[in-house]
Amino acid sequence: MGEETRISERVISRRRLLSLSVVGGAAALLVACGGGNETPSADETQSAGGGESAGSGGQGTTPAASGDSGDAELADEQVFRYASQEPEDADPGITGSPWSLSELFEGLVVIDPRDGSFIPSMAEKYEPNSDGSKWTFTMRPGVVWSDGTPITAKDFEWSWKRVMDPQTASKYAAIFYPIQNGEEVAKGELPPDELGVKAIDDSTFEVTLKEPTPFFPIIAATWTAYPVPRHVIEKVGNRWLEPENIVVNGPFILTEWKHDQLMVFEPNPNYWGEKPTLTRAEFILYDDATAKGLPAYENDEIDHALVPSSEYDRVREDPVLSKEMQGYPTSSTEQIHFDCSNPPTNDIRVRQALALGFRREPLIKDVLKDYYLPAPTILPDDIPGHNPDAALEGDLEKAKSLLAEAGFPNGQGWPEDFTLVYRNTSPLPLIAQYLQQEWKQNLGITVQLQPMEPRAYVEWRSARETQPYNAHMGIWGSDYSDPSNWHNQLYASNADFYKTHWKNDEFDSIVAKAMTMTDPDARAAEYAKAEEILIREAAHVPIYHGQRFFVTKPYVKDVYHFPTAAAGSWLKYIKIVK
Amino acid sequence: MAVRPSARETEDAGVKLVSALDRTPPASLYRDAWRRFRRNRVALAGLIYIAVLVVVAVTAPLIAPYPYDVQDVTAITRRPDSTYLLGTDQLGRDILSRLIYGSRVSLLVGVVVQVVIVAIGVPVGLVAGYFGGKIDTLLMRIVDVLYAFPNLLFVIIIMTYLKAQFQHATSGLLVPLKSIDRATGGLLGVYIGLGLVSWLTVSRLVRGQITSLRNKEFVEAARAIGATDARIMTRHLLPNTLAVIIVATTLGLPAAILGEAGISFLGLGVNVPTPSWGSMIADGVSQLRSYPHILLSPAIALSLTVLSFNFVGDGLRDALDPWMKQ
Repeated sequence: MGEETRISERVISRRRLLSLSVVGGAAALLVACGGGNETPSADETQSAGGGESAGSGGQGTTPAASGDSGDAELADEQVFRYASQEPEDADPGITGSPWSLSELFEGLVVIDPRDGSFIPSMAEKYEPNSDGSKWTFTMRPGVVWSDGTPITAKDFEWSWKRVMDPQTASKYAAIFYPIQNGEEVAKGELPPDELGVKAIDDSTFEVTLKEPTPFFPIIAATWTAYPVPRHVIEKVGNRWLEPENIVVNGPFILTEWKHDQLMVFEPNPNYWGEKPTLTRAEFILYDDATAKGLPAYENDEIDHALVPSSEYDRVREDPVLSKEMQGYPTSSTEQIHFDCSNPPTNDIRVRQALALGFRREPLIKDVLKDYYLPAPTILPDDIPGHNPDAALEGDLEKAKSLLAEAGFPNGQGWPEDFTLVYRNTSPLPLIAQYLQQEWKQNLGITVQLQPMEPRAYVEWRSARETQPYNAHMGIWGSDYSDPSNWHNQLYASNADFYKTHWKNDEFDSIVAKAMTMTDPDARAAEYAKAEEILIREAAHVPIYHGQRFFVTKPYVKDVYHFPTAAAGSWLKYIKIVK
Repeated sequence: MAVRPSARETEDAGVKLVSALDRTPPASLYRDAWRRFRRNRVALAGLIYIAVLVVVAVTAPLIAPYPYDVQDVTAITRRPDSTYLLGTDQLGRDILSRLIYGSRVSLLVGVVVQVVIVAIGVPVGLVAGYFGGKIDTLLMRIVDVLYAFPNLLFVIIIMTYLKAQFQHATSGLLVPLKSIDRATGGLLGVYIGLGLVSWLTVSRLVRGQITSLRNKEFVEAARAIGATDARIMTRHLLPNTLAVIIVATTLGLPAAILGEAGISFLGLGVNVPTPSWGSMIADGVSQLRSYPHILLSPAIALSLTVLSFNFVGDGLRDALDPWMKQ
């Protein structure tokens, strides 16, 4: 900028300036219209990393991967290149978004990304006691860290206590609340040693639960339950994840990590399981992998890329790319969250008016061009308890009358600085502007928009514990296909992940009871009832269910993306063929 | 016998004769400059473009075919056609209308920032140039230090700080400032920031001009008849630096416009949905491959505007040359 202020001191002949601008303008026009490769430049959060874990995995129920390898011959070079981004928090015990942790670590149990089945990993076998309130895990003999140190039950005891220690400030401690004293330890009411986990000896790990938790193995498979190397952390502290220090137990180890630039994974020689086919996986880190990945893919810089919603049209119509593209639902829902302790959104009629005050079909069909799936309710359809009948009933007229009833007829008296906060990553700016305009047109209210960098948004949201706000948009992707991952972990008033300060006693008691029910059908019915309350109270308003599309080079086979974030390594299965 | 003309009559006749032979009207500072400017084709073209732009900006609500924030979801990313002359963006908003309203933002930024620059830079340069010595050294060293500041960064810092302050403003001076900020589409920080970083050049130019003028005879003469420093500065020196100031502000306008465009492009400037050419360019970048028209219109408008101001500024400098070289 400083240059421009010196224009008056610089001497350019008029003719030269003219000719330069004509040439420059023509060049710009040619580049923009004439085609030819654009150098990539964008900045977006890949849906795999931004916000709440819409997983580093994501594939559908069909185990069909991007191209089955079948009998194809393997290539000599087994190198896979991908686009990703710098993780917000890297530590498995702290982060709320798992990034590529499943490549580096394995927990007691691993969820197979090919079909969602359970693979006993660090634990050779596990079983509950008679009433399901205690689970005993027997360690697999001979498992070691990548530096050769043996992994024992004591590692798990230490790692899990570390997660719940308030000093660790884990963003995902809530996942261990089912463990006895879990909540009390996380809140600082009890010391970490009181957590209901114990290494009876080096090879037996016992978990005592607050109540019978039938789906506990799923929790044991999530990234927060990964073992972390105590001997490294106690030596180097926060820097234990840097390539020179890092010690892992998963199929891959991080051999290079140039922050914000590049991550390289290579097979872990001390991994207990089947060796991967890949010899090297390079993840180029972009600040916006969603928008930068596809151009890099088309430039042959990477082998597999997410198709951003803005490029979806073009890829769909492209003769080559459309064949390489495949869709994968992601068991996720983007939502609007309201502060229920702060006017005007403390009034349920206002919340319902806002929920009904925008047209859903044009948003999904025209603005988002069917890249995402419509979401009348919050639980995605692969989760038991999914209840489409619970959708909020009403139309724009109803929204208007609700708003008038609440004291803002035609938007009169509406607070001028009502602000909607959101991450500035695609497609949220588009949705936010759509909502702003819809609410203005249909309800007569003005809403200010405040976009934020994803990292800043996460910080801002944590601070909402004590600071008032109006509304924000946040997404959740299932960590595992169980409704407790949603209702109990996000919306129950003792969790309040989105800091809405919403408290509904009926909802709280239903979901607390349902979590420990052993009969799957009755359990699903209870959660469906809870869903009804959730939607009616409109503290959280669903916008769309996630789905994403990837393009894969024809020589890359067996790429699996599981819908939820708790699945194990997908790099393990990838093969490069000739 | 003929009547002898008086001395006066002879004089008059002489003047008339000379004028008749000369055929040019009597010269005056600015009329002369205007004549020279007019002969400069490129500068004239620039001036016409700017005049048109000003008219467009002022009459925006009258000439824009659609409001700038209405979303027509049946017409998302439509290429230019008869209903939407420059096409629509990802939310179905008419690009031509947004371009027209965007011109307001750009021109307002240019003008306001230049006003701030003149308000700060001219007095500083005047005082430094006139008094010389320690005052001059002090002021110019301050200017040197401020010159080293990264401009964009400074503006971003001010923007972020003000936005945060306005959020929590409930009383005091911040409240009216907040309404001004709202009224300008969230650009108060940009005005202040850009103004604060850009006055330096003007102050240096003015100081240079004053330094070369202050030892001229007319200043001495004014002092001799008892004019105070203030009077000399305002009534004698300042008018003679006008040429320099005019050229500097005209050439500085595009810098301010580009500055605001850059900040809005980063998402830190104008409040959505107020259109700014910079934010429109940001919208268009992600769609460049599929729908280039979204980016082209604001980019061309911005380029032409900056070019025009540059041409006019250059033309003015050439036209006012003799006075600037005094």
